[in-house]
Amino acid sequence: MAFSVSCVRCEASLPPETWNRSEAVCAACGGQVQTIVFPASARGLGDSGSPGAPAAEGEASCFFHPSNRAVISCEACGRFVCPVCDVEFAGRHLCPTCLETFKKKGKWKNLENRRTLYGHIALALAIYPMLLFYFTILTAPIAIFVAIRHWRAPLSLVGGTKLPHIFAILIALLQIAGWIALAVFFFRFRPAHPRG
Amino acid sequence: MTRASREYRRLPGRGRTLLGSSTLWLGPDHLLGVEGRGYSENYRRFYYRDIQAIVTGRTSRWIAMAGLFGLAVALVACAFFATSLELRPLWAIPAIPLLLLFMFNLLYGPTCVCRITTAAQTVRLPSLTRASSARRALERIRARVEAEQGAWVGEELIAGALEPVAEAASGPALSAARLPQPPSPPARRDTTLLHRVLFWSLIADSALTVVSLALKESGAYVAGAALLVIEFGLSIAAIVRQRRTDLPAGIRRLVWATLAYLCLSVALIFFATWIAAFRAITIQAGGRVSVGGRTVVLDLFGVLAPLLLGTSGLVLLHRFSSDREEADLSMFSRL
Repeated sequence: MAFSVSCVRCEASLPPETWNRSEAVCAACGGQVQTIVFPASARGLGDSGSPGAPAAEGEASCFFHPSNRAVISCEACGRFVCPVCDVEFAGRHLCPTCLETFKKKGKWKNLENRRTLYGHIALALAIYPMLLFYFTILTAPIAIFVAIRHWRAPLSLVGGTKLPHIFAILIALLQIAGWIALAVFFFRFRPAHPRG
Repeated sequence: MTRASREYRRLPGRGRTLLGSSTLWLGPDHLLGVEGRGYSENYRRFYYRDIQAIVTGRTSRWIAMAGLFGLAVALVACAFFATSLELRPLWAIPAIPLLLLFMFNLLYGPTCVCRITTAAQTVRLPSLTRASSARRALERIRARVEAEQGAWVGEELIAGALEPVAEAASGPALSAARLPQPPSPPARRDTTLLHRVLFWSLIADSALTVVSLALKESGAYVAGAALLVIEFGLSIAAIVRQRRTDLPAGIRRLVWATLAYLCLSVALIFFATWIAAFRAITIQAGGRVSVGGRTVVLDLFGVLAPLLLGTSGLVLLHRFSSDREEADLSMFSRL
């Protein structure tokens, strides 16, 4: 099937004459569009989708599709795989099972699609309850727990730092110190009740 | 700096939603879209070797936003002039953020929508929402993708001969983008009527300021406020209208300068009201207030700035119109 791109404004197909120009006008909606088309558009889904030849007598067959001839072995587990099961990822050839295992274990950074920012959670637990100060007696220890418990948790992929953890611990410690000071003040300097 | 931040380079542009913001990063072999959700981040990778196309289209959302913020500023300005002197400083609280939003929206320029296509998916890039930042980001993405895939050679793209040619294999390839560009769509012929009205209104504004300073009547102040709102509307309309027209750059810049002057005027009005309120409070408290030449400077600014902008605009328009007439006449005589 021929490659085609559509206008982002009206979804009309943009003809090849408008591709890779610094500026073009969509014939359907008249809007200004810029279309950059790369050589990968000629590839489509690539070669990996074809099942390959059926396995002949004496030939190695795919672990997952015994009728298919194996073309490569998984670099992690060594199983023979056919072109359907061969997943090329970051320059390595893997079988789907190993890919899934890597993803679950979080061993491969490039397979991660979500990260929780525990430092930000701890910081929010330390800061927001200060609006209603009484809550900090509960949230300050929780903030410290979250910050320490997840100290080694992976940070943001794009340059996260430990600063939110550190600030959360410091602010929560100050809150706890404040509560202790208040308690000491209350018990030591409370007004004496007049006796009989 | 951490290892991760060295690995990824931030691209211009940031998309904002109610839940968080989204950014785009250049990685070693892929483009990384990061969607922040407050306490977590979602990642989406586009490998350079898989990117097939990127389509960007300009939208008119920024004009709608300018109109909305401009209307809000105008409403606040109306409310400001309608309330008593003591309560006026309160109107600065909503006015200042609205004015900033209005100005930044215009400064960031036209909005756009950007979509990336791979063999498996076509998705929107939510971080590229402004045409200027999208252009800068796309230049860098394009360089990386072409380094990975090679560039199209000559007419291959249009002819449909879909054989990528690596730059290394055949020397510096001639990218289709480097081919002679087709002539851009012809610029629209502007009637200059809207610009003329805007520049005349500026001169009227100057005259009205002189009258209001001389008479010190509330009617003149109200008329001045109404004229300010009209000027806001006219300048926004002129900015929208002058796009892709044959108007020279000088006149276009003058319209932007007019808008900047109007924003500054509104900010100065609020500032002066705050100062007046502060003085009143200080006098009530028994303090002494030094009366400086600040008011005179503001009055002079209010008279001279619109006069200068209006007259220069009209002079430029006159020159432009006469040049265009001469050009038309010479073209007809040649025909």
